[in-house]
Amino acid sequence: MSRARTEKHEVQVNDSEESLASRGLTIRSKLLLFTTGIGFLILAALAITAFFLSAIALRKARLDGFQSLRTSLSEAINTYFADQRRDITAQAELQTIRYAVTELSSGYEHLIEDLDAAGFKVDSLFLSQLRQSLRDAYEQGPMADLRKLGEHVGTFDEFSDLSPVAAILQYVYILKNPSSPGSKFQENSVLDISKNENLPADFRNAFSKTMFARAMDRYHGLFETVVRRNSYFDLMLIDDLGNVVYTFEKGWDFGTNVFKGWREHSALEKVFLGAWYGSNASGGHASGEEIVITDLQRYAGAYGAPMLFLSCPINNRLGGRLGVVVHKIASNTFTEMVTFQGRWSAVGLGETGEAYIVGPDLRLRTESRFVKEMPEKMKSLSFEPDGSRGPLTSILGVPLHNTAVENIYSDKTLSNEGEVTFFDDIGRESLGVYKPLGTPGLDWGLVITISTDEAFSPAVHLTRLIAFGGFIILIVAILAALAFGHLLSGPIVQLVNTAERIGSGDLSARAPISSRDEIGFLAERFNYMIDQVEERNRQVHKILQTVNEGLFLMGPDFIIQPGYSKITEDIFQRKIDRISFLDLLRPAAESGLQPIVSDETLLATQHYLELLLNPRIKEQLIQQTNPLSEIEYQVLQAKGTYRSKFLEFRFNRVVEGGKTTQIMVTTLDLTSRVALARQIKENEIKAKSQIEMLFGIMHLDPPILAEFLNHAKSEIARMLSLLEAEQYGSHLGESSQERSERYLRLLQKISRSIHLIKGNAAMLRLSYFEDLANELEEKIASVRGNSALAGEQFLPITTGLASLLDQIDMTHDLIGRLLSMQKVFGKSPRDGAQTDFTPLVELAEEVAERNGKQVRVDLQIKDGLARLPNPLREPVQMMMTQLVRNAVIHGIEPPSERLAQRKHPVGEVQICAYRLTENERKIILAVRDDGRGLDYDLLRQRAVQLGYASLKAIDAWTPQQLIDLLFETGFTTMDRPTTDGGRGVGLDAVRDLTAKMGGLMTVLSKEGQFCEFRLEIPLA
Amino acid sequence: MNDKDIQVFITGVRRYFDSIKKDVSVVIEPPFIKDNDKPFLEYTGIIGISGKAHGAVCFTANGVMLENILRFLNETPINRDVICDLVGEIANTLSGNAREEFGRDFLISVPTVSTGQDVRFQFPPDGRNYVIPIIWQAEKAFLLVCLTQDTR
Amino acid sequence: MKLLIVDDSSVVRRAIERDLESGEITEVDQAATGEDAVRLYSAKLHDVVTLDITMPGMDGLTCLDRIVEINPEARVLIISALRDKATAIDAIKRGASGFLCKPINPSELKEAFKLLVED
Repeated sequence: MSRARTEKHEVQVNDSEESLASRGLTIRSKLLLFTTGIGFLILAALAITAFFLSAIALRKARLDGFQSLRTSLSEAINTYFADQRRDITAQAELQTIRYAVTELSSGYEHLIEDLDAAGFKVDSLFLSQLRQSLRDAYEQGPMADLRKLGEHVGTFDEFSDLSPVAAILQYVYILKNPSSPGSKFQENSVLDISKNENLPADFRNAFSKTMFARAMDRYHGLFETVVRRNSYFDLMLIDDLGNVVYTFEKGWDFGTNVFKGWREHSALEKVFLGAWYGSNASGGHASGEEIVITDLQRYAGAYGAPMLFLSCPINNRLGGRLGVVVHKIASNTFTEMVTFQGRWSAVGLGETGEAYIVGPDLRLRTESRFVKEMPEKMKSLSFEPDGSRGPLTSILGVPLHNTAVENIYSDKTLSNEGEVTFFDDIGRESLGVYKPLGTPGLDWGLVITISTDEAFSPAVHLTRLIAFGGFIILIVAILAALAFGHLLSGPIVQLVNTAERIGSGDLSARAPISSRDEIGFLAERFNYMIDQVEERNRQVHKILQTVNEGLFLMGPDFIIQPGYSKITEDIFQRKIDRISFLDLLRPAAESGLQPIVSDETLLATQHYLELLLNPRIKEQLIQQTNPLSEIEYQVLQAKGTYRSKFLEFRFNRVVEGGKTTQIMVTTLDLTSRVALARQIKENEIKAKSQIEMLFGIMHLDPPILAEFLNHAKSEIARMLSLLEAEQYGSHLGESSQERSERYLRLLQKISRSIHLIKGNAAMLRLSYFEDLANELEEKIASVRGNSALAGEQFLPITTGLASLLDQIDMTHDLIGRLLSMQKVFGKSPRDGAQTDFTPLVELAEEVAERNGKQVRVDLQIKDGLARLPNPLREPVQMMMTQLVRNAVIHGIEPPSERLAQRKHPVGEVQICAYRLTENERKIILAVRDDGRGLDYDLLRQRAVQLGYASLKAIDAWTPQQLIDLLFETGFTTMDRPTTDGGRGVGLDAVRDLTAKMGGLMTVLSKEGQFCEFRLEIPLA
Repeated sequence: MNDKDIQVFITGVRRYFDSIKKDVSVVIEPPFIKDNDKPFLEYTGIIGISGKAHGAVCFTANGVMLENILRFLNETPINRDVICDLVGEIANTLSGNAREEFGRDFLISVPTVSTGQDVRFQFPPDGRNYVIPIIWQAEKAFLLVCLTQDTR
Repeated sequence: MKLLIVDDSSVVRRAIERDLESGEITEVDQAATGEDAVRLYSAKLHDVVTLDITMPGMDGLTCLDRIVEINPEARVLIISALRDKATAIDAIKRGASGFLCKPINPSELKEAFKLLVED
């Protein structure tokens, strides 16, 4: 058996080990997860750093991009200029150009002559007309515009200062040119002129024959091509005298002299002079140094539009100057270069970036991309080539004072080239890369800007993205950590919570097993442990419920602790936890609770308990001084009555670690035990008296005894009912005398009954009953002795009757048991010749002995009267008893007296019972004694004594009368009553009974010889 | 219960009726024992006894006698409640007075009053019930002493 | 003079009231229980209190304790059916000014009352 158990145990152990191992795996994996998570966080941090770094790199790249853009743009611009220089140089060396300039110059010079030769006389009228018309045109055109631009214009003459030739040329090629303004390069051919209806016919005819016209016609086509190909605004040829002999565009500078009018000090003059007087480096070939460039400036000849001039001297083979070729380049050429044809994104300028060129006056040379957004004060009016109003331009507007531009021209910085972050005119933070272009002849700077936001927007974007992503990762990491923490600690917390709940008393709490790791295992074990505790608690609780004593603990402060046996509450009728033991014993008066002990006992208890707490005193030695070892107290019942309760208290020390920490109190409800003890004692007494009684009645036949008892009981019942009935005897107006007499009659009745009982008891030799009856008789007598009888005087009689009744009941009880015993033992009750008269023998002997006499009884029972018929038996026995007694007491003399009379000292009492005749239903019962016989003298004496008659009268009494006296209640010849007689009751009872039975009584007597009482009783 | 004990109650009865009206004599008829069918009259005041003895002391009388007593006390109005009050009070007085002989351990309860024959009270089963007939002003009442004494 | 009569029997209360009727007494209160008695006494502080012992709920001697607690000078006359000496002594010890046994006769009661209010 044990082996199997061991095996089972081993198996169990293995199971748990396995499960633990499997559990262990999970928590490890959790830890792994955790560390992975940490690692991930670190990686994430690294990644973010990397991204940040890349953001920086991006910025740098951006910046580099701009720088390279700057570089490439500046290169482009410089290349453009280089190309321009080359081209103009090349052009200047072209033979055609030489020829053109020479011919046009010559034609110019000789124009008026030619006209004249051709049939048109140029007179002052004609000229003034011309001038008038031109004036109108100028005033409405360029002069008006220039005024609007804020330029000082002056008068027409001042402004234009046209030579006649100039005027004529402008008249022909501009004023009357049918082409729209801005397109006056058209209709320049001879043919066109000759057909031009706007010109007077004679004039046009003449003009078309001039050399100039022919030269124009010849070379114009060529120049058109050149202009078109190179996107020049205009190409001009100026002769050695400074006459603008050719322009492609046919603007208001055409035909004019560079030194006159508005041309004076203009860029045109400068560029002419510059080219003309430039270094004559090499003969015949114009070197780069000979090319003159003027910065973009407002050119009156183009309605104030900014123009840039390039000039190159036209030399002859010998290096002599023939003229100057001038290219006019408009700002839009450059604007186009720096605006990338609008493909901002392609060059990385996005939405906010732009490139522009500035000059040393810090003004723009190219149109700003954001010209529209620029404040108006920074912009200026512009006019189209045709003179019409153009949009506001930023070119040559307000000087830009941003850091980039300033740095280009600043002496203070180390390098005029670089990057800067600044706030632009619109207030946007911008990144600017800048450099001076370094174009020979021009002091231009290039600025590329972009708002920093946009510049670095990808980087910013990226940064933001990273930051956001990082934030997300952080959140996720935190959540994960929390989740993990919860995952791990959750079960732990649950376990702790459960432990707490249990600690605070809730033993029903169990830890939920939510994880399959060590924690879950722990929770499981924990729950098991608590189950054990609960089970143990249940057991203790069961014990406390069933233990039959009051059991509780109290601390040294005498406060009763909760957790006591159930009975305890029943004993004290309330809950007693957390109250002081002393309060329990003696509650405060206000509580309305019953005190269990008195003040002194409480004090003694307190002393005792203090002794108990004293470690120096031995517990066993002070047991004797426990004042509560047995106490009685009264418990108030529901009906207001009190009930006695008995309690026993025992006290024991509870020792922990050598110190008395508590006192254990056991209370036992002794009430039932005490009641039992009392019952036992009562029973003992009862038994004792019963044994006594038993001895007293052993001689009797139980049925006989039973009969006596029944009779006695019914007699007493009758007497009690007489007593009860007595109250009804009273009537209104009854005097105390009458009452007294009534009571007397009752007394008589009662006394007779008692006497009878006494007699019977005596006959049966039931001394106990005899004594009781005698006592009662005495009581009655004493009551009788009072003159005025009161009802309450019957009280002793009533109680006496009650005790008699009690005695009878007890005896009855005993007999009952005896009878049943007899049945068990199967003893035959009928033994020997027992007759109804047999007891009389004993009676006689007893009475004789008591009275100092000796007697012998002779039973003469005949005719089957040994057993009397039932209705007769009792009364007969009673009567016989009485008579026998009488015989012995009054009849038989003491032995000495007998001897003196020569009688046998032992007297004889004859008891006879026989039928009168065989047929007749009458029986004779006689008691005869051979004693004194009736002493009539004594009778007389007695009569007088007792007041029945006077001394004198008594003499007259007949013997019969005297005999009658005998039967009078209360008459006795004895001085003092004794147990047996002398009370004067007995014979009267006999007489009564006989009379009741319808019998006769006869008395026969001979003085000194015998006395016989004879009864004649019918049998019916 | 012996003579002396019952006598105490009889003394109390005399004392009580004397206090109502000095000169009117109270007649005590011979006390008897009645174990079954206690003789309850119209009104009965019952006092529960515990402690030294257990059982009850009851004063039972007819309305007429009680009304007479009330008149002697000048009590008005005379109604059922007042009669019940009185019969209880008489029982209470007679029981309380008995403590003169029996001592303070003869514990008496507050009175319970019953009317008619149907008296609900737990009388002790053992012990004899003494009935003391009282006649006062030609009206009858009983004092029932139903006690068992605890032996020590 | 204010009088408080405490007894569970209304017959007794009225009898006492009739017996003690006099010019001196201006106010009479009756209480059938100890609790009512304490309540009334604490409110009015009667000059004389007659007090029964056997009452339902709070018994007379506890009521006596309470009254004496409220006013140590309280004049309380015990009127009780309990004739044993021990009870009487206990009552006096606990502060009763006097002890009368039921059945009371009116003259005795009047005498006792006079003695009580003498000083």
